[in-house]
Amino acid sequence: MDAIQTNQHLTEMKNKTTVAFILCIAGSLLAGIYGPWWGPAVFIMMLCALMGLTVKQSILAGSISLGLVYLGMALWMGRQDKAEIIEKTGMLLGGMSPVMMIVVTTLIGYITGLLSGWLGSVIGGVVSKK
Amino acid sequence: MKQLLIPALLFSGWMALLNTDLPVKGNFLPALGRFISPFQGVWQSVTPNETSFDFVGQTKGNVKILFDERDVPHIYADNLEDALYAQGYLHAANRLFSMDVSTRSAAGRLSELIGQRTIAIDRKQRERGFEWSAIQKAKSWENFEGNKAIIDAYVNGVNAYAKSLDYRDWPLEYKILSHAPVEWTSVTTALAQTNMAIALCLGEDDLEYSTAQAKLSQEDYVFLFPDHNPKERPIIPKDRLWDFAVTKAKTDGDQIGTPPNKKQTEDNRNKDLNGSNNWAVSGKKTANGFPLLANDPHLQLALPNIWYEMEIHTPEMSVHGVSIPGLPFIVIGFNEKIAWGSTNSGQDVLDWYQITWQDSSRLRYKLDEKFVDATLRIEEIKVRGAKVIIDTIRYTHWGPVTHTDEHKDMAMKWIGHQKATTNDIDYLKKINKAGDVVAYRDAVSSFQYPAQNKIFASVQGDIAISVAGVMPIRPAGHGESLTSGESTAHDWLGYIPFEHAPFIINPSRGYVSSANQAPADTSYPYPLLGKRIFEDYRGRMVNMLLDTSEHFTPSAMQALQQNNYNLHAADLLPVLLQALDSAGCLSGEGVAIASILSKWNYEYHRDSLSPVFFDLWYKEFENLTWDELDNLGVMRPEEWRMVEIAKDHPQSKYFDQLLTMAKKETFSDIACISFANMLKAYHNLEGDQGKNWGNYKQSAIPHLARFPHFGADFIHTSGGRHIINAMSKTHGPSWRMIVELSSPPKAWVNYPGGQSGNPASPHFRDMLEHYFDGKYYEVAIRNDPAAWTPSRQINISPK
Repeated sequence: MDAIQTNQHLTEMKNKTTVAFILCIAGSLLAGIYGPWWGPAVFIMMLCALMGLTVKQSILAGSISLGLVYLGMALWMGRQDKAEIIEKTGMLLGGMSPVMMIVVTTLIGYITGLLSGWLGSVIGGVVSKK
Repeated sequence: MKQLLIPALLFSGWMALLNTDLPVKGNFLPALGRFISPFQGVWQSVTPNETSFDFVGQTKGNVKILFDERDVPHIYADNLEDALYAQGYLHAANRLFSMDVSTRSAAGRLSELIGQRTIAIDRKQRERGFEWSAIQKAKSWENFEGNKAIIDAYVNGVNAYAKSLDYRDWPLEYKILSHAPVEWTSVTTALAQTNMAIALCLGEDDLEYSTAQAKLSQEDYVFLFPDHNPKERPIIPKDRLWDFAVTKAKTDGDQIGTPPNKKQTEDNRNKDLNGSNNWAVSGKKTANGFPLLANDPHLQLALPNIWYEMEIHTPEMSVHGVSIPGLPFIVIGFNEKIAWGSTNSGQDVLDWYQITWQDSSRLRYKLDEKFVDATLRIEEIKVRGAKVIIDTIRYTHWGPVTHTDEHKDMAMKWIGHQKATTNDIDYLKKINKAGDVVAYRDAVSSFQYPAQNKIFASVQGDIAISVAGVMPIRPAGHGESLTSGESTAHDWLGYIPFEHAPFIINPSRGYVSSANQAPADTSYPYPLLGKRIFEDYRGRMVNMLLDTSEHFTPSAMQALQQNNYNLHAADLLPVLLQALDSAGCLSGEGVAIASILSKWNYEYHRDSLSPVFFDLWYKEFENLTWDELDNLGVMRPEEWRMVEIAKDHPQSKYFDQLLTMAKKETFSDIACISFANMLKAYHNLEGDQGKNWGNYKQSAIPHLARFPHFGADFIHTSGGRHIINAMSKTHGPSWRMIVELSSPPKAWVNYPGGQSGNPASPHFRDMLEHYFDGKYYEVAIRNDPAAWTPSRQINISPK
């Protein structure tokens, strides 16, 4: 019985994380397109708080989703960069290659998502306790 | 709550870090949060966003803007103000950052944008009082009927675009510098004008002449620095009669003021800054009987280009040409009746006055036997990431003062700081609408800036050239060197009246031309200073080619604009080679190179090697010849005088080298030594610089803000100094235009760059290759917007 409950719990956890992950991606995209640069961070934080995710789930969903969104957007925009703007800008900012620009972009998205998710989860925990 | 502390602190710290510009080695890394965000920052700048759209603007009626295949806009408006509103909008949409940087540069406000690296530049500009004079100029515009509406419409157009931008739409340069676009005003418009005047009209050699007069004997001074080049071909032909009495009317424009510092004045003549060409040929000398007009102004080249090409249609005018972003109207171009162009006159319109202070407080200075108060102006230089710098500028009767040391300060009087005495915006308005030679003369009478050579041709068959603008009349003997500022008797006596300024209409020789040479010969009643600024070879070359040919066609004019013949080399090289031959100082490789040079046609073609040898040789030859002057700190004579001395005075004492006390060298000795030095210098050239002239010259077009990699780093070009195709390292023909005054006129144009100021745009530099291959685009005025298919369209409707 316990094993079944544990499995059910794990499945729920996985499902919840997956749902959070998908919502984080969709919400970050919308917040990024229509909001300020910090819009995706606020969205992830609020989502993690409202969904009552654990710290682990939040960090995982937040970091990977925003990292992926930033990576995907950078790759998408990079494909349209006919005038090598990213390469020239990277050179101007200390000699970064286009690949390094993508890596830095992804890393910033990843860390922002991680911290947003973490803070959101803790806020959610504090609010639910009250 | 405790568990909140660490993630909240980390999150806040991280977001604050991402929201902060970080100082790195004197520069600033833009706040990475928004800059690196793929939704907002640099990633959003990779696409040019050049599309069709409609918007509601501050216009009275509907305005259509149709873009052609080169992204040249054609504005169709119901009235002038609406057309200028659209022009302001387009200037901002394509050159907002350029407009901002160039006007900041003139005003001394670059440090607000860049930081501590530009403090010295800002200090210099503040000392010269450019912003203050722009404020006065903008105020004076309001005194003239119609000006305010014109300026307001243009300014509103600029701001309509600038205010429509959110961060993701900012020009990339603003994102990199992490600075928002600023509001445009009538003062910034005046600064755009001042910026052009600074670029063209700060040439003078007062201190250099003072030094030469002090350190040389009178005999040597006259020998080295004669007043006139006997081979000179002035703009106005020598047979022009000047049938008027000289007037010395007191100026009716008050001094506004300026300042410099001694170091800044040391050599305003950068050898790279080599002027412009224009000419107009009457129908008698063309193949099809229509007059032809050509103009190629030479300026510091940059990407984006200083010019923005456009066409403007209103019920009162249809005009095509180039505009200067920041200013309304077309500056050089043609309409359905006339074509016009400009070159810089290059006259010395800046004088230095030595100030005698009462004491070390430098608050009162001597003027007409009394001590009078200097006016103090506090300048606040804001510096990005650092404390505000406060500077006090002292303004005198003459202008602002530069501080070198306590009792030897100098005040600068510059024509660009004089108040407008007529409606100077009127010049552009009138010339854009002009339909004949009378209207052209009326327009140039309104030109209130340091003088330019305004050329003209019309469909009626007239051609003309006017040296237009403000030209000071000085007391006899004044203006060439440093003047005592103790007496107002040394002040300018007034300005040359417009009707007395040099001009000519339909001369018998069948053409008019200018290439920055002296405006008139010595028979002209007013003294025109600028002998070391006036160009000595291009004008002669243009006139020789126009004299000796007939049946000109537009393609012949194109070839003439790209003529690479160096008259200076043709004058000097045979004399140098003869000296080598008679001295018998050549052997081995030297013989072969001298042989190559002896067969050279004096063409500075990019694939030719001979110009490399000549250029290196001439530098060595000049250095060895003028060692005495260099040692004394005296300026070198002009190059035409060098040629004369080599030809006519081969035993001159200046050929004797200072370092060889035991021997007295002659011209032949110096020719031999400098040739040997040239061979060494040639072998020391780096990379493939020694391959040909284009590689040696290393032409480039840098980005306006000198962002590495955003410009064109190397361009293989022909031409050079003293050559009609005056393309030097980073300076050269910034716009080439040839107009055939048929009815309607046809034109052939090009410029090095592209229409867009956005580095991501395909139009940022799409005309470059075509330009340097010597090709032109044929254009004609497109009166009917329905008769052609635009590549994109903007529609502006009134509120």
